[in-house]
Amino acid sequence: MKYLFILVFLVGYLPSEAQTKPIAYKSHAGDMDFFLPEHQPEDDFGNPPPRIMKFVKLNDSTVVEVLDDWGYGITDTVVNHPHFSDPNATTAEIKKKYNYPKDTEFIGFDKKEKKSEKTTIDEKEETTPDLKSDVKEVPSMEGKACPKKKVEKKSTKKNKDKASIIPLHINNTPPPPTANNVLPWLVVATSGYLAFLAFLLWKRQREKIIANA
Amino acid sequence: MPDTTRIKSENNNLKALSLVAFKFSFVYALLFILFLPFHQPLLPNIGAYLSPIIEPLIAWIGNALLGMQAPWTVRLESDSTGLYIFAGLLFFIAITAAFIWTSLEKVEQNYLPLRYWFRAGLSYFLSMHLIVYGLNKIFKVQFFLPEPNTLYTPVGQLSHDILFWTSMGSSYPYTVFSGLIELIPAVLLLFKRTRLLGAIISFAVMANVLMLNFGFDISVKIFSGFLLFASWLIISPNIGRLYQFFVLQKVSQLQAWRPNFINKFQKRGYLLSKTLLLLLLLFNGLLPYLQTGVYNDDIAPRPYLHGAYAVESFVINGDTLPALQTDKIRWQRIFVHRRGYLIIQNMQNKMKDFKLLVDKNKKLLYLTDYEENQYNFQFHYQPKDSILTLKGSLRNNQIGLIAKQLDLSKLPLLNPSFHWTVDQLIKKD
Repeated sequence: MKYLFILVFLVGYLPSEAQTKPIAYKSHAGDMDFFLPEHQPEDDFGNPPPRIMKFVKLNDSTVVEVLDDWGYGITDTVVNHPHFSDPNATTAEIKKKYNYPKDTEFIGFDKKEKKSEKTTIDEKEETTPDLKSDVKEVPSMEGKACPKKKVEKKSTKKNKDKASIIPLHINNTPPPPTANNVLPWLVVATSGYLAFLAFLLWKRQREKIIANA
Repeated sequence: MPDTTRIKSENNNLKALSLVAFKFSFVYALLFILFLPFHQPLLPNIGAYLSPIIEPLIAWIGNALLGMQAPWTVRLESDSTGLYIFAGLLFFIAITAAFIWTSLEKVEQNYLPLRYWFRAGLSYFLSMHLIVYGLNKIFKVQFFLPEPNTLYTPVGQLSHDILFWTSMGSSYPYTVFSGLIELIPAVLLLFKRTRLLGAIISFAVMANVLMLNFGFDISVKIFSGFLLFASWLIISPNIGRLYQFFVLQKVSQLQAWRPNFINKFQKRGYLLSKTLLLLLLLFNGLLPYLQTGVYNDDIAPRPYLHGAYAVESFVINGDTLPALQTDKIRWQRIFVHRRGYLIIQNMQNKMKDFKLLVDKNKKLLYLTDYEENQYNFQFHYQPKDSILTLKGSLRNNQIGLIAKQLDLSKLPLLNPSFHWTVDQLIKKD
């Protein structure tokens, strides 16, 4: 096992290729049917930013952020982090609300920490029940084994408990039926408002210049 | 209308337009920079802390107003739907803020100092990104050497972005050059005297980058658009003067207002803070390379077994399958990707990837598929003759194979050949 970890470390230690998420995914012939940007490593804007590995809660206002910049670790102590403003929020709630990758560790956030960690994959399932009909489960970034049957069983059970949590990134409630009809009007109204405001703004500025002259 | 009155009125119109544009762009650029999370190796990522404030509003706009269907990405990251909504939302916010700003002013203000410092700040911001992107190219990290599986994918099956990345990654000199032409304006932008020249070059560079992103469907469209916009904002106060000089060929003087430091302490303070800032920007770009010691990613060590393997013998459930082009089951090649993936290519060039972990000690490969099923393969690799043998079970099929590693350096794309003349291309016996 020692060698296994050395190899994993070696792969991680190499400077990552800077690329966009789709390119990173396509570079290993990733199946586009399973592509979800939020599940990809943070190769953003063509640069290689670090991945958040874990958060360690020191107290209600302070957390230590541990980042892995594809090889070297960075720790940062953050006070009043906006994601952790609710001291009673559980790991599951935070992960779901702010869409952290499923392998991000949260230490000291709730008493039932182990239980929360185990249900991480279930939470993703709950938030994305209808992403694609053929998608059984989201792909893992770290290659951790997780039997499919077990996941499906658990997620049904958990759905009942977590139904009240609304995920930030995905809307589970169906959109209003007239949304598509409203959209063109919304664009027209917005453009009209912007144009009108811009005109008023220019007029007022001009008046000021004339008055000063 | 007499000529003088007409000219005066036109001047007032232009002046008002210019002030409105300044106020709008000031608010827009400031909010975009502050709220967009962008990791920098050394400098703080302010956007990571501010973006959660605006993300619920973006989610609401997407879900309730635009009726977006899941899945969509709210998070402000490269070309996410959330970023598009954010960019649109900023139009609203910036124009409203500019309106309130103008309404609250009792007398017309002198905006020259604010304009100067805004453009100076924008220059540093632009320079910081050009340094990071420039060094990423110079050290060959952005356009990396194509991975083995990409090299064996028929060109027609590649999408535009990966094809562009592959073309760029295959040319070391051009990638370094493209990095240099980003680094040069980055340096010029940092100094008052050369700022305009730097902005003009960066405008040209960013216009090209933006068009590449559109032309090859690369997902950095909004951010590259913003960097182009930033370059334009730095140039824009001098457009009239540049027109006079280059087109009308008249003597023209550039923007006049500059900070005037009265005493020695102010001058020294300015010099010290500027020097520190320059060093910070430089180290911010260089830090990843100083830490890893890799200055050319093409020759950086690759993980164990990395490469392409041609399957010479393939046995499934006891049956040896011949290498027929029509066979969908038989494997043609296998690839080991540097980021820990094993990719299988069948005889019809279809690929399937698995997350890979290698246990060198136990001689085991752990493959994980998209449904998180794990498969273990025993492997044996003989470096002497580059033969890899695999034995294991995949989806209830017993598989055994013998594969030979392919020499990637012999591929035409990775061959560093260069020809001054066409005659050098003629094959000689």
